[in-house]
Amino acid sequence: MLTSLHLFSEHLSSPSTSLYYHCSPVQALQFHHLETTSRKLTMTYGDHHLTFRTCISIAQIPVFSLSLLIAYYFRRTHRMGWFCIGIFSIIRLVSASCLLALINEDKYSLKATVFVCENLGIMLFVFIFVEVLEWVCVFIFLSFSFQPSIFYPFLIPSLSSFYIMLFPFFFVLSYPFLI
Amino acid sequence: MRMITDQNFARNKQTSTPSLPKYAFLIPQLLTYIDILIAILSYILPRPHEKQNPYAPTPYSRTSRAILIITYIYTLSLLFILWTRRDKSTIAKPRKNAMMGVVVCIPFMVIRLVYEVGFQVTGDMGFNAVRGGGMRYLFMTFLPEVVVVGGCVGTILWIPVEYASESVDQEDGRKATDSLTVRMEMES
Repeated sequence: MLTSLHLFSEHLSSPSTSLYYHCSPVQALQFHHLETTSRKLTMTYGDHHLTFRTCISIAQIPVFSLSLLIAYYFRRTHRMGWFCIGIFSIIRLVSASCLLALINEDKYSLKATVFVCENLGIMLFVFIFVEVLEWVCVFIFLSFSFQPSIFYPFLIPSLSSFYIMLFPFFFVLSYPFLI
Repeated sequence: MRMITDQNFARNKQTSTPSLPKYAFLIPQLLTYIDILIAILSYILPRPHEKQNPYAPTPYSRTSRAILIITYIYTLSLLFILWTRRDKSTIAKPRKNAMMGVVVCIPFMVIRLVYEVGFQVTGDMGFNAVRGGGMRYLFMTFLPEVVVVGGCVGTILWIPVEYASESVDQEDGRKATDSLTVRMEMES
């Protein structure tokens, strides 16, 4: 990380910037535009440059670390939703750190991890919403008469153990990158 | 006379709360099981375009996104039913607040979903998380996610502790889940 920042500052003070001192302001602007556009075109992963996308990943790390701590607090105080928020934070932290690792090395596996992790998190939000709505709704009919239904087997596994079954997604979604 | 008032009280207590069957909240799980099945099928069955860009959307990934949309629409319909049957008395204030928290989070979640579905439908690499533009990622993924996580945390914190820990203590000291509580009630 520090190395990449160092290289970034080195790039700003490269010999090409001295050209700005030997031309008119308009020419300098044009040259600056040319230089930045060409840099954008040639910029790929693994060339030690901080881009806007990697800056977002840097911002993601403190934000989702905080939400991970909050999830731990929810776990300690027996509140709902700790599992979904915790797993979501971990997934986002993994994808952000893999994208930051892409600054210095252009590896296919890192890209695959980012791609898979970015796709994973959405379903967890649905479960947080459903969990909250389930709390909002009070099941009065179950308290005085139980109506057996075909869905009864689904009552048995708890919500937490269900998420463990989501982990095959990690392997299945990475299939396109393995072939 | 006292019996009649007691009965009325009991009936009011029961009818004042919104009610939906338990399995209504298990259908998202069922849909996710189907989603997992599709992912496994995409692993087993041959891919239609073998030498294509690995990021490019496949029919399987499109199907799984379609299931995701169905799950979202289902959650919205649950929310709508609970909203129409909501308890308007002051006793049920915490439950109403929790519902409002979900209502606030929904539009931001839709933005996040549009980013995901936009990539699957158009195949535009601008919507890809790895190759896409930073601006799109910032406003359609990062900020909505931060808002939704913040909204969910706020909603759950807003629920008073006496409600949050209303589940029953098990023998080993852990809290029983809702389904287990139902089973314990049945057994007793």
